[in-house]
Amino acid sequence: MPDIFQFNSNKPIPATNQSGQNTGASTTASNPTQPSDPINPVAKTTAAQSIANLPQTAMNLFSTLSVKPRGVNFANQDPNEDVILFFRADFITNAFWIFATIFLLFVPIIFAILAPMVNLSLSMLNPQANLVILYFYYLLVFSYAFISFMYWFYNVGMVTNKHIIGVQFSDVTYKNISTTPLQEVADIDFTQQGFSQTFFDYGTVSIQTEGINPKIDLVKIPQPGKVTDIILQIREALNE
Amino acid sequence: MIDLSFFFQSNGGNLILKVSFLILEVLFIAFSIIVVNQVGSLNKLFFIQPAYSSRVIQILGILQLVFAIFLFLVTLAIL
Repeated sequence: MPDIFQFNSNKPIPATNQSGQNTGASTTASNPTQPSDPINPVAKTTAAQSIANLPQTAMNLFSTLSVKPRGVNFANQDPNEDVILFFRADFITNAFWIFATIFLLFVPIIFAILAPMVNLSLSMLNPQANLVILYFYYLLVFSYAFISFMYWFYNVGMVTNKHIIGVQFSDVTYKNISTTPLQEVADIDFTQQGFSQTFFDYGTVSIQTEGINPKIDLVKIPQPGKVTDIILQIREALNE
Repeated sequence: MIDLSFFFQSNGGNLILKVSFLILEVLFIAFSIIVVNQVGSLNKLFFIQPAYSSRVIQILGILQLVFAIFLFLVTLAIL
């Protein structure tokens, strides 16, 4: 059976197992712009068929990885351009702000218990002032949780049959949308490091390109091995 | 006993602290407006299923803004 991927012999072979999941190591696959083998027609059909045969996954509010998602589209999308892969950071990456928010919700209660012990009191304030302080505090906590959720929700990546699209949103006022043609993809590798990434199976997919943006990092995305494989298949099908 | 009541004394209180608190709330209102704007522009950039998810975020942003304005007005009335 012919290989559907063309690997650079100078790079390590992807350390993925049969199920397409990585085995913990950094992997690299390459290349790119070479056309597929014209002698072997089976190789030509394999990549396109593989994409066509990818199972469609449903999307919900907390989806982190969807293959051929229905109803996902973006501005400046070509009429014959289809979203094949949609992803955002793994949900476990939200653990910090979720726990922080839960802790912050209980801070006023902790304060009410501990304040008398250190002779700190708000009892001299009128009740309305106390309420205003308390409401404002909870408004800040809500805002923190809301913004953190927004960062996760709107930092997305999409791979279409033509482009790789990355949306970065941070610091509330900063957003960046990068679009890279798949033909410019020169090299893809993914990295998983640390207990959390290995245990929950998420990591960073790095894409080297020949375009203006020399490197695209898809950070903390779930199943980076599977994502790498699918991007390689799409690119292979494009080269046919 | 540490007394924090000077923050909110209605007569002859510390004006600087009162105004500071009000400024903080005004800044928060400005921040909330930016958030609502950003959500709107991001929702125009790409559409994600399910459709209600973007709407929910937009409504939460607007609620935050409305509550911030409400709190500012209440603070203004109390102080």
